[in-house]
Amino acid sequence: MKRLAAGLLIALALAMVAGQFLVPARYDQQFRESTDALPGGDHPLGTDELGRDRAARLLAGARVSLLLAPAASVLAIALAAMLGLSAGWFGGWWDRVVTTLIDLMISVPIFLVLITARAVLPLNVSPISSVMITFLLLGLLGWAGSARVIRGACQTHLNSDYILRALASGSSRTRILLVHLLPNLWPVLRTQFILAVPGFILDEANLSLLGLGVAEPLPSLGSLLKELTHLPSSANWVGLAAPALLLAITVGAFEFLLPPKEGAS
Amino acid sequence: MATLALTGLAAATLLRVAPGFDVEASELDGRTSAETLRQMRAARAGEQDILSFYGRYLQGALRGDLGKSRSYEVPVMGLIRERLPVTLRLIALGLAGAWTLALLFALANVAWPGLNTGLNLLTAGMLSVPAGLVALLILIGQGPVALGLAIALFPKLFSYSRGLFQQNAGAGYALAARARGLSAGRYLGRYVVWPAGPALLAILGLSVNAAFGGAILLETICDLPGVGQLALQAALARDLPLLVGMTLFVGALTVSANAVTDLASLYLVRSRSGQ
Amino acid sequence: MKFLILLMAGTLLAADPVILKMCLRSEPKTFHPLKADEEASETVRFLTAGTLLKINRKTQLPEPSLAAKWKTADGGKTVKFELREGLQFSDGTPFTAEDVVYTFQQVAAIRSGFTDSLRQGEATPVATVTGKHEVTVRFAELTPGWERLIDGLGMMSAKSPLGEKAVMGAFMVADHKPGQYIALGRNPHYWVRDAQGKALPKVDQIRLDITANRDLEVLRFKRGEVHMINKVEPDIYQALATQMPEAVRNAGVSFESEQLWFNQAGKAPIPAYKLEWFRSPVFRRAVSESIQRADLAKIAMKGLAVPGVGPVSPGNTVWFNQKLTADVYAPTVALEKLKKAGFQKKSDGLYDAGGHRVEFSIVTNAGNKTRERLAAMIQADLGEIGIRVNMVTLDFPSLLERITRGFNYEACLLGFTNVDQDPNGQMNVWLSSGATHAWSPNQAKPETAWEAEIDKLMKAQARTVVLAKRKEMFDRVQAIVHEQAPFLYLVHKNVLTAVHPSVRNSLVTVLFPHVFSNAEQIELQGLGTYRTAR
Repeated sequence: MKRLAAGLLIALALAMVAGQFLVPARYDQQFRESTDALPGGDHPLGTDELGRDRAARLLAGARVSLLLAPAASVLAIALAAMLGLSAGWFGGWWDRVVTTLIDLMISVPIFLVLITARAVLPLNVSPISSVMITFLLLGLLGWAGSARVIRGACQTHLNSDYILRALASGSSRTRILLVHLLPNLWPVLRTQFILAVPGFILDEANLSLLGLGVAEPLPSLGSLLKELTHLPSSANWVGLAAPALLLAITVGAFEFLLPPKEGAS
Repeated sequence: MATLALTGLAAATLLRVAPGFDVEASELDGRTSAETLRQMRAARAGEQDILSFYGRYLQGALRGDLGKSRSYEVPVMGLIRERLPVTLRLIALGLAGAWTLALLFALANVAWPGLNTGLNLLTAGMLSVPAGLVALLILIGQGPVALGLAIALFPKLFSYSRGLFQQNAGAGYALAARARGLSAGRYLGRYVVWPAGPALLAILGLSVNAAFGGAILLETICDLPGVGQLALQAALARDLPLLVGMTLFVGALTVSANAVTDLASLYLVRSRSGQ
Repeated sequence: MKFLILLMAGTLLAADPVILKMCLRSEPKTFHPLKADEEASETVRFLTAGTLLKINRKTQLPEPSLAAKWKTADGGKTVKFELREGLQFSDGTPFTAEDVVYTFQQVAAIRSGFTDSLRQGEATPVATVTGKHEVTVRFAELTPGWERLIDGLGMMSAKSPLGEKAVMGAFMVADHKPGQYIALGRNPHYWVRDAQGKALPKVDQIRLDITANRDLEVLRFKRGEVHMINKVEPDIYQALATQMPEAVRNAGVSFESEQLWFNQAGKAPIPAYKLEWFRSPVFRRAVSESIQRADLAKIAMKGLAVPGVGPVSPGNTVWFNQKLTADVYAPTVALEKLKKAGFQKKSDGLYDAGGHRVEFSIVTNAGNKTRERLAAMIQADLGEIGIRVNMVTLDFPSLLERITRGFNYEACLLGFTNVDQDPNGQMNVWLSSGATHAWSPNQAKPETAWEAEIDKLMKAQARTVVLAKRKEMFDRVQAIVHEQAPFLYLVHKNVLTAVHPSVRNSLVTVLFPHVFSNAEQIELQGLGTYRTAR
């Protein structure tokens, strides 16, 4: 199973790189004579309402989302780990400050921040820059939930037997941190990361549904997912469902690749 | 309490600072004269200085008066009171559904490891569909909106609880207990589920927050008259009193929910380490 | 026995109110008839307010309403209205000449887009009682097209304890849940009767649900939970036309358009070389000729529009300048013109005389799929001549801020809605001093010769009531606008509506409101016939 998952991801990576040769059309090229075309002939997945090749857009969108969402997740989890860990570790007033910050981040309407950020962006950023900025923002704003979880896990572990034993037997705090705590928190971090990646792709998709996502003509998996809303009235369900399938396969492969969590020892 | 006040101030400042704060759609009306526009802008002068606005607003809030919405021209408290039951019902049902399913499936997975692949596929599938899309599909199929919320919340809850349960199940003393011949039920209950308590409670608080977030999207798309839909409209209409009032109110709710779960979690942790 | 059963059945069926259901895009900002400026408020006002005369949406001619007849004098500056007798407001308060005077006094006191349309300078029309049921209205200046303004002036009661809630239209506001719906109930004192002498309106209630989600609206329409949709988006119309062909109605070309314009405001915080491009008519015309309007109409608008010509759409047959046609797609000619003006097309794009790459952004409002399609196609078209376009979708308040306050934008793609048939309704757009002279508003004095000429022509046409003369002058304005292209008109949309098969008697018109201009005559099939006589 793991080999299958690894194989899938490698195939995906190859397809994204070699994509240009497989699908000659550019993602922004409008074939205006054949709009809303069904799969076949020149267009293996059909075309969208402006005549753009769906396969080309899928590859381009996958490139964008599958490169940037993990990057945003790394940023978010790094922030979450720093803050959550330090809060759990040091406790006291720092813990209170961090908790307040987490509560604040969670309660303030995030989409307002995103709307505002989108609105103050300079106008002539290239589409790829606008995508990067969107994911950067998502990463900067999306750490609060994970921080909470990490802090909770940290507290649980700190109060468990093996840590207390280590303390009692005279280990230094640094040693406890590095040797005992971090390795045990690693599974939590990993889970949060895996959960964050599709989460960010979907956040970007939801922003697209509100009309505030990636700038045209650059596609992202999110903006392609948005087109599923046409499913009831379109005959091209293969072309429409392809992005969702791709995302599901990628996320699934991710999950399979990572080894099951070890027990605490 | 301080957090709450801060949150409200943050929301208010954001709104005030957001572009388009004091423009009206009338500005694009070909009939409107310059003098009328000037008077319309002057009418919003009371909200220009955000700090003094917020100070006055908080004073009112402490008395229970959350101000009057600019776009609806009715008291904010009234709007919230009218819409809260809808949202609470949606969140309660959605959370109950998501948690029940997540815990059941997670336990099942631990009991029968063969289910792993199938459940991974299910989770991956559910994770890859945006909540907005789920909402639309439910709308078309005329299904219950709470189902959409449950679907949106399920994957993360399931993944996390399964991880916790598997970790507990793999622990030395748990395996030993099983080897000793402890019945499946008691083994699962005592060694798998019970130790996961504090961590699960931490997630509970978080899931309430996530549920509110999901509620906003679901209510907007499925047109449910709840507080979530109100929040989005307040942001888009730059309705300062409404947004601040809502932020304070929802903030109060989530902060208390989280405080409760934090306390419960802390209590559990302390009581166990005391064993 | 059978008779008793029928009677019971009849009463039972009669007990269920007949409710006509429609949706509003947004919450009406006000229920005050003189403050209604946006579509939602205007919808409520149209259905509830009584006016001295009504413009028949089909014939586009004024017909008597609360005023049985009227006579103009003094070259058109004075109008004497003879009011009908014995009419009452919705709460029973009698309707008298004093109420008309009071309404005109309120016009002076209230500032809104609507009252501004009646304002000439700072003065408003003055009404005086000149007979038992007679009111004379004196306009400060000659007001050609005054009938259309009076058609929108809802009469208010001077004496009723309900204030502006007392109305004389077919319906009145019965229930209102902010953000959810407005229920309009039958006005018990409505004076209009149908051909058989029965009291109108025919339905008991109109329910206006507030929903911004168009997909939801059409979903509910298909299920019969919404009976009429006043404005349908092209892609939704297309889908509905295949699923429910008997329900869709295309009333032909509307008065509205989608247009692109460049920021020419002097205080715009954009680079000087870009401002220079935008201020050059050669540049603007070249861009206009590089856009394939036929494709825009066919693909972005799903064939439900015509290529854009000028400020007046061909659907406005009274005012359209028949000599004008849409710019032909001629990119090679456009490039030649640009070359002569100093631009150079290199392998990686178009460059201006100063060596800058020609690149600009188009802002439009988020969530509007039609505009997103239009912008994407323009982006591709302009890419062919080497111009790089960046599309930026913003939420509406942010967009408004950029185009009316900060002027921090380069090009904007928007459509003006509720376009008035008469050019006087767009005065503030064409006068260089106007607040909605979008590309460079509020000019102290005209910045260019052609804007000065337009100023002169617009003011002149407002000073005469002779239609032929006004048309001649306004034709010239249209020609200038076409030549100078401050607005690049992309498409003129069709009026697309949907009427559920269970609805009877609805009239679909090009003038607003498109499907319910005769709301009092509309019936819902099957349920209407069981109404007991009143």
